[in-house]
Amino acid sequence: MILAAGIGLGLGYNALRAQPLPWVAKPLPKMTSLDSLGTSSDSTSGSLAHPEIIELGKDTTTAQVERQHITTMPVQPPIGVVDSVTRSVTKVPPSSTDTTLPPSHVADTTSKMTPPPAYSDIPESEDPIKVTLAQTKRFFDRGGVVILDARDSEEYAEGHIQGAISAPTDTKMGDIEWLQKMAKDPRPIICYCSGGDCELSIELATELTRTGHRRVLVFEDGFPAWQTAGYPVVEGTSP
Amino acid sequence: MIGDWRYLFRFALGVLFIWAALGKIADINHFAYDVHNFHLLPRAIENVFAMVLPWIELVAGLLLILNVAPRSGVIVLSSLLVIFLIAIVSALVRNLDIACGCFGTKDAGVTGMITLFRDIGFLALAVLGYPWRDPVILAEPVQIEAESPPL
Repeated sequence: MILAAGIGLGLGYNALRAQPLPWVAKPLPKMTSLDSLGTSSDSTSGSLAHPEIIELGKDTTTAQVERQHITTMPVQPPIGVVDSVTRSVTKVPPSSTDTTLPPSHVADTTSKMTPPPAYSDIPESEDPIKVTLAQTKRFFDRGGVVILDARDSEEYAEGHIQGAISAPTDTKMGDIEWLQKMAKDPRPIICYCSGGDCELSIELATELTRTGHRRVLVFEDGFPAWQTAGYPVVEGTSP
Repeated sequence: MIGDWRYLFRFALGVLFIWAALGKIADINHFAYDVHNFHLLPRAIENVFAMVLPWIELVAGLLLILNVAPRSGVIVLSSLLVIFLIAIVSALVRNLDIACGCFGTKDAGVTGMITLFRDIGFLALAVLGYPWRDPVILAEPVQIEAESPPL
């Protein structure tokens, strides 16, 4: 009787919720790696090893210092989420070296819905694409990508990839407005979580592709691999 | 029957499970992910399990507090605790770094030895609170003297 009551109440309550949990969890797609999609590791490195990245040591002017900030924080938040960063980018006065900035670092490009040419090395796909640590680092260095941390906000605060945005899978999966906003963002999205058996990043990436985004990457090795490699990590609640 | 000292343990167990159930019901999506992270159930039934389990806990917990069908309530909750125990041990053996989810989103602690001992403690509460039947006290055997046969 207790079991029957519990089952009845549970199913009934779920059916009455505004966003009910599906009875059967959607199966995760079989992800293909970026290499197997025609962008081999070498070619990827060739295209992703961005020759236009500014060398920090050569900049001395105030404006250039500001650009240093951009290059050290190459990962931008989603459109409409944090405007202050893109505004600070627009303050950079045009100069001959500005042409070397990756297109995605210019605020104007973020308002356009067509992906900049720099993303052509990431094929459009209806399913998420796996990327390695090296590939993720190259995208990170190049900038113009959105990095989403699919872990809990507590884990995010303990440490995350520099510039990554907290997107806890359990809350963002049901946030249709946020998903649609992300789907309209032309920049590639890289999702990661804790590596190992963690599938939060795959879940989030799958939901993003289902919402319509066509360049969603999953960094399966996740934060532990990034941290072990000694790549930039930030603590706290801000990217 | 409420005067029974075992009711105190059942009451405590009932309160614990109601608290745990409400935490899960408040965020079923999160609980479904916690269930998924254990990798013990087939994916097809993970969500249904997450939908139903908190309500079973809630109903059983309420019954214990109200002292209605206490045996059934304790048996159901004990069974759940044994299932949780298996899940926790399994996670520890596999060295999974996952949230327990025992009390919903409020319980962000990683599944570990503390969770294990806490579960064993709850199981002890259930055993102590189970309304065992009073042992039947047999009367002293009475020597019935055989009546002397009629003369």
